[in-house]
Amino acid sequence: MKPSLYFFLGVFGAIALSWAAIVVGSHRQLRALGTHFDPLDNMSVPAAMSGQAAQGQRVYQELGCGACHTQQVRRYGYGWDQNRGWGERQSVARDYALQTHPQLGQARIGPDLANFGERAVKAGVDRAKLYRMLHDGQGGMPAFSFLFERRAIVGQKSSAALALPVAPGWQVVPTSRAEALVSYLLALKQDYALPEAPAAVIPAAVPATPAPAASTAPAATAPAKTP
Amino acid sequence: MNAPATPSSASSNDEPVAVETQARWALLLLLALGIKWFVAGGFLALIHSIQLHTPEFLARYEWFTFGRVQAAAESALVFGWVANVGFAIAWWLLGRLGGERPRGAVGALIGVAFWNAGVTVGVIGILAGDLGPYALLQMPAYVFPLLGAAYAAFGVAGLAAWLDRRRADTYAAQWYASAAIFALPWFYSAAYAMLSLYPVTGVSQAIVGAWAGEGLRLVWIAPLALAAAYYLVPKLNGQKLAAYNYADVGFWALIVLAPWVGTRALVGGPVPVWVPTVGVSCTLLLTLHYLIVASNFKAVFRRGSPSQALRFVLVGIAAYLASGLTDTALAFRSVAQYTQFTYLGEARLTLLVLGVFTPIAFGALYFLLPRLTGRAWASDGLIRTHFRATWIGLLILIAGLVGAGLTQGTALVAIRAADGQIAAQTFAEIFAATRPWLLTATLGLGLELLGGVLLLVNGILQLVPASDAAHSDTLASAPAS
Ligand code: HEC
Repeated sequence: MKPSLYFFLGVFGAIALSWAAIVVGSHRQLRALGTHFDPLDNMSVPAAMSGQAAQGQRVYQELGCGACHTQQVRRYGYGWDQNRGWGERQSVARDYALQTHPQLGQARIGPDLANFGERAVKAGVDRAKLYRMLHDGQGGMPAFSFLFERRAIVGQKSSAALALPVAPGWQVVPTSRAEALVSYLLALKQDYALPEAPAAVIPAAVPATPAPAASTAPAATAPAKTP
Repeated sequence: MNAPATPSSASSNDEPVAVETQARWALLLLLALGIKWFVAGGFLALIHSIQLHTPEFLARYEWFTFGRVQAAAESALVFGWVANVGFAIAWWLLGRLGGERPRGAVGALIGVAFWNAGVTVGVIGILAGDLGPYALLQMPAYVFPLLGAAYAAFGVAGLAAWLDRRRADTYAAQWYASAAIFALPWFYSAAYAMLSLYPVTGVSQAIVGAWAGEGLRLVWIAPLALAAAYYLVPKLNGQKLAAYNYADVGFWALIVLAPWVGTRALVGGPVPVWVPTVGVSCTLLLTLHYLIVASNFKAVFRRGSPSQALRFVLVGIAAYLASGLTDTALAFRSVAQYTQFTYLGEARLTLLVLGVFTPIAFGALYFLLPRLTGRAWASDGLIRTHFRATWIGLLILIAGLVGAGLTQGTALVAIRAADGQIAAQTFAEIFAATRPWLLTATLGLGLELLGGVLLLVNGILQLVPASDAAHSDTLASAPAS
């Protein structure tokens, strides 16, 4: 019996120690992270998501979008995230501090979406275009046509109706889930400045080989510091 | 551990021991349900594999949308196939090596039934949209209480077989088996508490997910496979392992270091830098464990083996060492910046579940099932074909995923000069470049699953009364062979 006791204490203790150090330790450090008050703009960042966007985050999780999309920009010089225009600075813990369902993601079969909302505005991608993309799929991305429904036009055609060839008298409209999802996608922005994550200085022309990390790393790699 | 060599495919000459007679029904139920999940999970994995290169496949049906199929396949294979068959093997070898009558077989029988009901609800729940975002923890939170209670009912029987042992000497197989039985509830309930019961917010969730998910891989799935390997190799080989003295160091190296490596997946991510650094360092230290396992089994590889069951086990051990090697290589930050978020992540889990655990479990099944049913396998030819399908399929599957991962990883940073312009490859281009590799992976997976069907056919033939006519009838009407 005695050797068994030591054996189980050993196994239990080994796991418990890692849990206490990594999980509890980092949680204590991160728990203290609040929003950052920016006196210049007179606002706290990051701002909480709107109710509809938060709902959209749930839809995003339910559909498993994270199997193909990440939402985390790595520092300049580590991979090519910023060269690809996925963000102007590294993502840090505070960016997610208010999120109950953060979607850091598992794989990059599609582009990183941490700043998709910002990118969409610049590229002129509006709700209608996003609905269409979700309905049809694109490249390696599957279609999510079940987020839309065919409905008879009663009175006026819906303003959100997709420009699809359908029988006269009918329209294809986004469901409330599609609406929430698109609101969420358009709300994905890490465009505010945080003291722990200054924007990386990216050379104007993208160099043929990624610049050595050391040139920009010291500031950009600083962890989310908390007292 | 110097039992005589035993033939793998005939009912063997040594008498069935207590655990095989008194826990027969619980063991048979575990194995039967495990094989059922291998078929169901394999089917889902095949859909997922097809969707990787043909995204429109079944995309119209919400229940079969990409992310859900992936999560469902993973959960069915891990909590259906690995959990049932892994536990059966662990319990059985603890009973055999402990030499005591098994306790709690009836409780185990009931627990197993409820566990499988829970996994069924979990997999259906995933397809219905209740999936979590972290690998190996994707089943909905509401099945946890059921799974927990069910596991308590049969896990206890396994631990009792360890605590009741009559022999003072213990073997590596017993350590790995009992540690695995113990580790599953530890990691799973800690994750449940912190992700669902009292959920933490923000990136703390990702840290919990990485810690627990990798913990389940390395301190539950891997030890289940190792327990079977450490038991079966000397048993089937009739010879003690070389360098066995260091097996205890190898065991404790895994148990002490592996729980720390999970957060390496977050390297470069929005977490405090020390978190992934700890994971990376411990991954490198874990090399010690793989070296010891390699030296323990080295001699067996050199000698080769006449036993079919042993050949399966050796494939699993080789895959395990390969997985250790790749883990180490991919841990370096300079490598991870390219390989992170690529198909290599999927390759790692596939290698562990289908490459390490599955062949070893097949080997164990070929040895164990005849002892439980009292009947010999119907066809040696089917076993040989199954073996070939397994290792060739595995090789093609992993090569496909690794090729896709490396292509994707370099394309994500690659630049392409088109009329003087320097531009990143588009995702459509990356998709086109990885597609041949992903098609290859589907081929390999199909082959490996076909092998599983051969096991099933052989198992059904085993139960059919032995007359030649009956044999050929069953063969002719067997599906998909
Ligand atoms: C099978 C993998 C896969 C899944 C699942 C997936 N996507 Fe995509 N996604 C892609 C790929 C690949 C692209 C790039 C398509 C292209 O540009 O050709 C993409 C592009 C996008 C874009 C445009 C990004 C940009 O910067 O232009 C958005 C937005 C998007 N996906 C959202 C989603 C949402 C929301 C979900 C879940 C409902 C989802 N994706 C599920 C693979 C996937």
